[in-house]
Amino acid sequence: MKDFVAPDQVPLRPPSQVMRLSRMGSMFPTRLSFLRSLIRRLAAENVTVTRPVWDMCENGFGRAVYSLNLGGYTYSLVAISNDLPPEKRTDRVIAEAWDSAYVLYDGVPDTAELDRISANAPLQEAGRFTERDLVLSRANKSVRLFQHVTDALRNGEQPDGDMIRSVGYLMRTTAVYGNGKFGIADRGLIEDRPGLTGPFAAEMLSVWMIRNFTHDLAEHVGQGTLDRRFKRHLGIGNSTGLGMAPFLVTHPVLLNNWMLARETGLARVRAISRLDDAQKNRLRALAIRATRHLDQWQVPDPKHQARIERLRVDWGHACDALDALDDQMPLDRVMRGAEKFSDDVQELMVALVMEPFADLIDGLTECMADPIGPIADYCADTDRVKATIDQHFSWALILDYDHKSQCQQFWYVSEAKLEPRLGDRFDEPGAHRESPLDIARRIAALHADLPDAAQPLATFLTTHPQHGLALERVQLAARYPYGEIQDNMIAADCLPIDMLRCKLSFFGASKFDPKSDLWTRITLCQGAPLRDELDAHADDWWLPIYEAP
Amino acid sequence: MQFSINEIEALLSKAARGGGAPAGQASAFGKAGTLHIARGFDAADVQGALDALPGGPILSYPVQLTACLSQGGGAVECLKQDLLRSYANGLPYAVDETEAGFTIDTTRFEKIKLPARITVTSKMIDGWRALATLTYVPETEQSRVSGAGAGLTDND
Repeated sequence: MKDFVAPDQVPLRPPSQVMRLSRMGSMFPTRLSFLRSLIRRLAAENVTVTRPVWDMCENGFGRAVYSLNLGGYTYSLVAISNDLPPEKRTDRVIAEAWDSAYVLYDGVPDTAELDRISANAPLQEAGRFTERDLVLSRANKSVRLFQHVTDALRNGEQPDGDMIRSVGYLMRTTAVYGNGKFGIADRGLIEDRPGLTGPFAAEMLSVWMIRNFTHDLAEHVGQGTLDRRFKRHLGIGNSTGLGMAPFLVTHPVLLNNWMLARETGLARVRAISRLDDAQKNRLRALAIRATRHLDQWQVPDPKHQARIERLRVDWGHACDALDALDDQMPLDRVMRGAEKFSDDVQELMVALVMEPFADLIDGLTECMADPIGPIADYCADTDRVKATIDQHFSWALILDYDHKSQCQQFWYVSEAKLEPRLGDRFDEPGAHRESPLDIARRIAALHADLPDAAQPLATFLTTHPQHGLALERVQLAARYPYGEIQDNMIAADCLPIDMLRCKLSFFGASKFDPKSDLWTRITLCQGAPLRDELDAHADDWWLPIYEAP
Repeated sequence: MQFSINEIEALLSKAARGGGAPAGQASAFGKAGTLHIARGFDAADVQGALDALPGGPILSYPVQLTACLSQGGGAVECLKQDLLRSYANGLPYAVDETEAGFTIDTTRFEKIKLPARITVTSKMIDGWRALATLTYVPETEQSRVSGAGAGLTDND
């Protein structure tokens, strides 16, 4: 058996630097992103996608099934396209109908199963699903682009390239549900399957297949063939709100594993002593690609657009460091040079320097799931708890949680939609039903209640049961140092959009288009290979740029 | 009625919190209770734990396990199909049967494979949902507009 020798690495950036919301809210997709690793897997297996069912009327309403074999299992995307009246498309929060609905199915559905899914998938949360249904999703059209594309094709023309570039998707999903929601399969049922072991792998597979469906649907309605380069640029949009933000707080092991993989990858490339010419040229070419990507990243929000424009300027300066790649440990020097710029520049540079080094990075994707569950370093007594808090949570102890600014927001679950929301503690009812995402405040409260003299932990928990959650988090801290966001989640200045961007960058999202501090639009799979492009070049789509045909 | 594991775990966790359990203990109960039912043990144990709130097993079992785990694992006494055993089985460690109960070996990792579906009576589900509702905040126009995290209009 060949021994595994871990690559050299420089010291990791510490959690106190990395796990701040402002930095997490500056992250970009990397080759560790889940969509990237999925596409690599599909290409490595030479996966072929078939379309055994295409039952659509001329206006594009009906159902379709796409099937593929991955890791020894067959999966099918069932797509249901509906005729959605315009008046039902106007209010996403209370939406009960969508242009299209999807189920990723375990196997190939027969007619009875297809009928069952066709009856339930359009209902989404109001439907009921089985363990054969792995992922449930829905999407609405970008009406203006879908209409334009199909009109152009119908006239025997190609659509306007500027519209393709500026919108970037034909449909956008408004939910992609996995892990047991509404009766679909639990992740535990599929987490050991080759190809689906990574986090959100089934969800990412669904998104990529939905994107293929949107191309087919437009070509079907338009009765023409869309230029391949347009299709390549058309990803799948996504509207993401608060719903996914608490995940990062409630899954400290996963958060740790994601961030640790990323930081380990960075530390490895920073330790490279010398670059060869091919690597230098690749880095410079990717930097130019990033520059062009930034140039094409336009958003309506003036505040965010100003941030992008500042990034464009600073990125240009930061890339000057790429002229001097002949030195010892050149990428460590590049990263040190980037430190004088914003978090945005630094995190873009992180993604860039990792991109050419598949051999150092890609294996880390094996470490990004949580196959066992949280393994705690149990404290024998309260003195040990105190020492652990002092070591890992000093950031949480310096805040005054009684001050209005440090407790102004509260997280809750709305009775009407059963979705996470944020409220103003001093202006809205419901704080007494607050969701337990206030980890920093809980740690500080635990610390304050610890006795002067050491006490067995069980004794302390008996008299202070309210600290159960904080004790759990403290005992995870040593083993999972990147498991906690080192900011106050209930502070007035806590911006959920930062959590969304962190998580979505791990998905592989780009072109973040924040609509407020609470939600954002993004594009997934933009630039990703089409279903007939899963070849040796299938992995080269980091920060895609629009190329006019 | 049949449910996924995650549905029941989430519901039990919320029900415990709605019934007055602290967040950490509620979460542990959600996992243990689901595992208990999924492995074919008596769902009445789970219901009984909820009924005993704000005291009872949901508070005391985590204390018992803490006493064991803070010593690095070891023996815990309990009856053969006690809910406490399901708490232990919810941990990522090997749990071995003994005559008096079980031992937790924190040096060996084990994860119990759960079935695809679990069955719970509608009466129990209704009761758990009623408790879970106590953790939800009724919607107001303000919360819908400002706190929802998505635009009211989402067209493009």
